[in-house]
Amino acid sequence: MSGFWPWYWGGFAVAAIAVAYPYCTGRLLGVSGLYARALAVISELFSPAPQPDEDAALLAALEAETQAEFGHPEPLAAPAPTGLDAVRRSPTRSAPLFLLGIIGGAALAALLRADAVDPLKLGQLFGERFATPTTAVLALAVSGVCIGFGTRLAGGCTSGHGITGVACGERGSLLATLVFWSVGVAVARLCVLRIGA
Amino acid sequence: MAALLHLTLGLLFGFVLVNNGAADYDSMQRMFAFEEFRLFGTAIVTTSLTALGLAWLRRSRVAATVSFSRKPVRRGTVVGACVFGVGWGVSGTCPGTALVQLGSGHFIALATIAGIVVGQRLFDALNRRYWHIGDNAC
Repeated sequence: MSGFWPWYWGGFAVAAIAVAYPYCTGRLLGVSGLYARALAVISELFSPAPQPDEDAALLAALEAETQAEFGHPEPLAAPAPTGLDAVRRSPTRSAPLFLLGIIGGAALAALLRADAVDPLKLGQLFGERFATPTTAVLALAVSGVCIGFGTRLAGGCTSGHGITGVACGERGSLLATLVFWSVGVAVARLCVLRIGA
Repeated sequence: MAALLHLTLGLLFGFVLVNNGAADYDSMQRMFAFEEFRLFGTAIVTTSLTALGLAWLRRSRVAATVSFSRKPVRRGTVVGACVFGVGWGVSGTCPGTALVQLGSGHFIALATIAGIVVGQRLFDALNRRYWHIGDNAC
């Protein structure tokens, strides 16, 4: 299939986002890590509210009494950060919204491109290899488990290791990227041999 | 502010990946087979320019407010990359592009995404009980 951006423009655009992301949010970009944070935030939302801490309440009351008696201390310098600075400095629970953004951005791009999209296939080659919907779903689900398990065990995926980590010259990322590229090529080759023979 | 920022960056990322063909199964498989240079070239340009950009960010005015997480070789780096590589090779998909496929209308990618969630949960459960590998996932 053609009609994709030439590789240099495509590469430039992804790099721009991989640099803009830490510039804006204060953290390096890594999608598998965002999955983990999304799961953490979701399970937090559905877990019972934490009990109020009695010690903390006591300390707050003491603090209030002390301030009533002796007056408020002068706040230490450092004005409150504003704008992007505030975002970079504060831990945020909204980072997983990046994942929702990906889905929305892809939908927008697909609408503009107006390619024919088969909801039950990922492409023509895909349809030849995984002929029935059952085999396709099974293959993708099992692949997904490997992807989720492997990226957590290795501490990163194509973005966190392959782009950001390698760009930073991190040894773990260089090793991981070398390994998952080699295995990816080998496995794809095996698929072709087995199915195409 | 933070929410809007993450959402916007995600929108751009998804938009770009569709137009790159990075989420296109056939393109990925042709890259794996060394039949097509395009995605390989995209990866090389991406990583090189990101290296330049992050080197600039390290020296910039805002560097102190960015946490540059380290990625040392650790227990699990090689085995994890192997397991991921198997899933990547078969499905031609990584965690980011699975979401791209879903967004662009390939609803079958829900199977991949569900698998990724299950795989991560499985790892967390086993890691808590047996392995205790430090959590520095990207």
